[in-house]
Parts: sequence; structure tokens; C-alpha cells
Amino acid sequence: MTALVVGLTVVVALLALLVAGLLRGHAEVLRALHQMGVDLDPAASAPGAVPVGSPTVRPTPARPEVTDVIDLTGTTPTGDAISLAVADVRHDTLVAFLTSGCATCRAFWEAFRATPADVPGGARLVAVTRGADAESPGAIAALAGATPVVMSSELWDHYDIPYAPYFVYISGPAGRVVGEGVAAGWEEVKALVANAVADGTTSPPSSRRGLHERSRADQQRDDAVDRQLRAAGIAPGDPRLYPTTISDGGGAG
Amino acid sequence: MSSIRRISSAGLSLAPPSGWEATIYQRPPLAGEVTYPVVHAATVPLVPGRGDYGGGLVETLGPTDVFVGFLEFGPDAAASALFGRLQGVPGLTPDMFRPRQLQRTIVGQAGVQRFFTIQGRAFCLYSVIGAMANRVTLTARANQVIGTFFVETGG
Repeated sequence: MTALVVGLTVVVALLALLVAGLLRGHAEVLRALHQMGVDLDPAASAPGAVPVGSPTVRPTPARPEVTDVIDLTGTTPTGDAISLAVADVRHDTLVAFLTSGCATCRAFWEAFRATPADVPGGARLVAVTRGADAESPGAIAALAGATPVVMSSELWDHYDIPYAPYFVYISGPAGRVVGEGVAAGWEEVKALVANAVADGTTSPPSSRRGLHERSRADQQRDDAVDRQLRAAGIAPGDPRLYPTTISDGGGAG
Repeated sequence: MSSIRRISSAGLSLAPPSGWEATIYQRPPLAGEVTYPVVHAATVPLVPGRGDYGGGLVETLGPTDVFVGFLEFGPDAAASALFGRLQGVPGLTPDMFRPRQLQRTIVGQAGVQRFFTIQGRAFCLYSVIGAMANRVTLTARANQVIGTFFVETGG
């Protein structure tokens, strides 16, 4: 009897050690995933966050600060200087970070070259490669089609691009990145962007002032002008408010 | 908010303000042809295939949009009366914009063209505003980018 109890105790102890080891291994896996930016807790995800790419390895949106967005400034494959605006503009921009060497990128280059890229929601597609210090402008020129291409290693560093191909979706009116990630093919990117557009995650936050919202000083000036116009007998819709020529408007002729 | 960045090429540079995009390019010359740099800046996307005077782009301007172009001409032009009369990059005023100064008339829009010389190099400044009715505001917007245009001495 005593031997049976001792034997069972030893078995239970061994099982406890085994379970403890498994739990420790599981914790180490979770910690490693967390360090890579993958959070398996659905409750911890930001509401409305929709990744552009799949699988994504960082939380989305990963850049809540508007200061993280800079215009796409660099050179074209033909050596021209260029700066494309991505913030404080009415349109959204889908930025494709590509290289001339990776096999997956080749499929995207071919998709972009065949026909003008059709991005859901009407976003503008721009391909960004590393600069002439890391890419051959001639090779990029041969790959590029009608899609605008900006060569700049600084943009890769600023947007912290981990590998290629990598996609970043920027809302122009909101002036911030609203989605980013990787994808295996152009159709997959389009589907994911379409979902983000349908979900409204590409729309600017309602709390942010619109592009053409008037400042208080401008509003006060407008009110003063309105008062003077009313005093002069000019009401809203008066044809004199909409001159078609300079002489109509009383300007220098 | 996007930061202001200066682009430079062919001894020319420009710092497009927030919401503007810009390019400095030079067309590859055909046989027997000489080409010179062109600067384009606009508050709308710079569509591919546009003309040097903004053809293909100005059609997309809305009532709050502006296009500005600087076209360099040859060294001979710098010595001509047309370009030599004005020294330095000209600022614009609302009364300079005329519907008839457009390369191609587009209802509601207005344009302005000025020839000038700076650093021994001859340029044409050409600007189009999306709405004549908004010329006061849009002229100020055009001057925002024109004021950042910088020219190095010609060779």
C-alpha cells in the first residue's frame, strides 16, 4: 500500500513538472509573438482596425500620430525630382514599397504595368523603392508602368518598412496611416482595401477639422463682409457675387 | 501633418508647402532638339502624361486648386527683351489672372503668364487657378509655392 502511494505521488509530481514545462513554453511563445507585434487577445485590438495586408506583423493602425506621415519625396527612375502629397489632400494614397529583386514584387510590378491600377475607393497608387544607393534606376524604369514611382531610401526608413512587398494606406484628409501590411498578390490587396473602405476606416476622424473648415478669424471676417453686403442690398445668390470676368467683378481690366 | 521638403534638380529647387506636390523634370531630347528643365507644382495629383503647360492636369483643378509651372528657355532667351524686362521671380496679384491667358480656355478658370530672368537663366512662369471667382485666395496660395522657387547660376 505504501509503495502504491509513493508511486502515485511520484507520478503526480512528474505530471506536475510536465504541465509546468508546457505552460512555461506556451508563455515564452506568447512573449515572443508579443515582441513581434502580434497580439492574440481579440479584446486588446483597437476597434475598427482593419489590416491592409495579411498576415500582418504589427498592430493596425500602427501610427496614430499625424506627424508620422511625410510626403513621398525622392527621385523618379528617370532622375527627375518629385514630391507627391499624401496629407492635407482630398485623396487617399496606397503606397506599395517594392524592390526590383524579390519574386513576389515582380508580380506586383507586372500587375501595375499591365493596366492603370484600380484601387478600391479611388485611392492613388504610388510605388516606392529604395534610392539609387540601393536600387538601379534603370532596372526600376524597366519595371515601372503608368504607376508613379518614387525612389527614396529615406522613405523606407521613415515608414519603418520591414520587408518587401509592403503596403501602407494613407488617408489624405485625415493625414495619417490607416492600414498597413503585406500581401501575396494584387487581388488580395484590393480585397483588403475594399473591406477597409467599406468599413469606413479610411474616412477622417470626425473630431479633426476638415480641410476647408474656416478658422475663427476667417469666420469673423466672413460675417463682417456678409453684414456689409446685406447693408448694400446684396443678398445670397445675387449675380453680382459671381462675376465671370474681371470687369464684372470690378477688378483691374 | 506632412513636413515641407525641398526638391532639387538641374540647378533649380522648390519646397512645396503642405498639400502641394511638385516635380522638376527635363524631357529627353529628340534628334537635333535641346530641352530645358520644367517645374510643376499643383494642389491636385500630378497626372502622368501632362503637358509642359499643365495640359491634362488643369482640367482636374477644382474651384480651390492651383497649378504653377516654371519653364526654362535657352540662354539666348535670357538676353532677349521679352525675358530681360523682369529680373527675379515675380510674385502674382489677383488682377493678373485672366480667363483668356489660358493655353486652352476652360470655363471658370483663369491663368497668368510672366517671363523673367534670374541668375542669367530665362523662365516663363505660368499659373492656372481653378476658379476666377476665388482669385484672391488662390493667388495667395500660388505665391506660397512661387516664393520657394530657387535658381542657381546658369552655366
